[in-house]
Amino acid sequence: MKTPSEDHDLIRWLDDELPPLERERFVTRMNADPILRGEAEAMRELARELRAHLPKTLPVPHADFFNSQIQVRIAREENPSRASRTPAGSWLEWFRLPGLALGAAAAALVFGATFAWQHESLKNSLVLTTYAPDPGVTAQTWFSDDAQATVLMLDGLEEMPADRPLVGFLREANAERQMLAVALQNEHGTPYARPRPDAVPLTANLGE
Amino acid sequence: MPASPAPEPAEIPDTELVKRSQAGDSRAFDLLVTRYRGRIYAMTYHMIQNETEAWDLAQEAFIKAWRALPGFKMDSAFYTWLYRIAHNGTYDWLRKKKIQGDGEFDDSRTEHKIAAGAETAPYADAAPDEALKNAELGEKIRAAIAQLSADHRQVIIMREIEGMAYDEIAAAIPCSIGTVMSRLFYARKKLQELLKDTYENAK
Repeated sequence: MKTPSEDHDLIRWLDDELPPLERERFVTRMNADPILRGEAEAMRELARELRAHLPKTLPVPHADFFNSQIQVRIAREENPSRASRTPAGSWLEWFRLPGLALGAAAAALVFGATFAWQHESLKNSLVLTTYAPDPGVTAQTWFSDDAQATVLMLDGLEEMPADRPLVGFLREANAERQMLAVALQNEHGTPYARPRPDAVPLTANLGE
Repeated sequence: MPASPAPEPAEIPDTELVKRSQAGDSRAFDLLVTRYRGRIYAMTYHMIQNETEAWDLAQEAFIKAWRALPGFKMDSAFYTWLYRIAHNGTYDWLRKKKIQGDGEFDDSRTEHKIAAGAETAPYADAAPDEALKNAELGEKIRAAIAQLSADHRQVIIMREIEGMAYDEIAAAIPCSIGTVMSRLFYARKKLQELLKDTYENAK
């Protein structure tokens, strides 16, 4: 019958944690003991299978959202009045074209804008979180019964040219990103920029 | 003389990103999140085998790390420090859920598809029937790990997946090196027992 110390020698050999002299002694003992050798080989095979089937790295589902949620939490903790969060529901992400993103990154607090995107199935959708990369820009969302659209209010953007093309995307968990029809209005509700000409209304029923 | 270009985010060392994060630069911290989210998520997923909970626990680990960053003296690698935070949170969660060790297959477990680009993507070139067999073996291994106690599961993951040395495992848990060796031995014995039929059928 083996002692706990012999068990420890076995796994230290397996994990390459034995000093050279002890390792040599253990190998000699193993060569003289077929049962110990069989046990050692079985454990080595198990270790090989574990390493092969349990990857060290896994792709994080919705990795961008993973990061943005962390940034939202950090922003909220750093300045609780800055970040806003709407009640839970499906989550929605919007994207700006590169030129617009650069504009939003500017620090000037000169402009308030309202984006509205429309689709029947969005009526019961709630935006879970919003994230503005520039801390000078705040975002609020709600569903407007009048407009029959989900509205994203961005406060703090610098003024944009009226012909700035815009596009929005909707993404829900386990679903591909889909393009939305987007309209931009200024703080008085006046249409400010034209929707991107190639933006198309959603046709998939995302509410179910 | 032209100014040298700014380094790519992947080239910025952890120490610099940590210093910037400690100074309140959340974008530097975002780069650290991107750099380590896959490894931290893999650990939480292997520990609890539920995609949603693992995602939340991994995220919580990064939030806790952000809060604790001012006290991080860089006396260990950032990842080692982060891993301990994530591990402690996951281990506590496991203990609270009391799902460890009593041998019932947990239906809430969710299977994770391994991306082609993952660090370990075994048998990528195997024939379809061989790939299927390997996928089944992988599922059986994960099911067997789910039946280990939290104590045994954590040492197996630290040793076999993270490749941590005994003294590193002992420091992370924390416990003695003798305890690490005992837990590893019995965890492996238990896994051998649980996978006995699988190996015998494969012969």
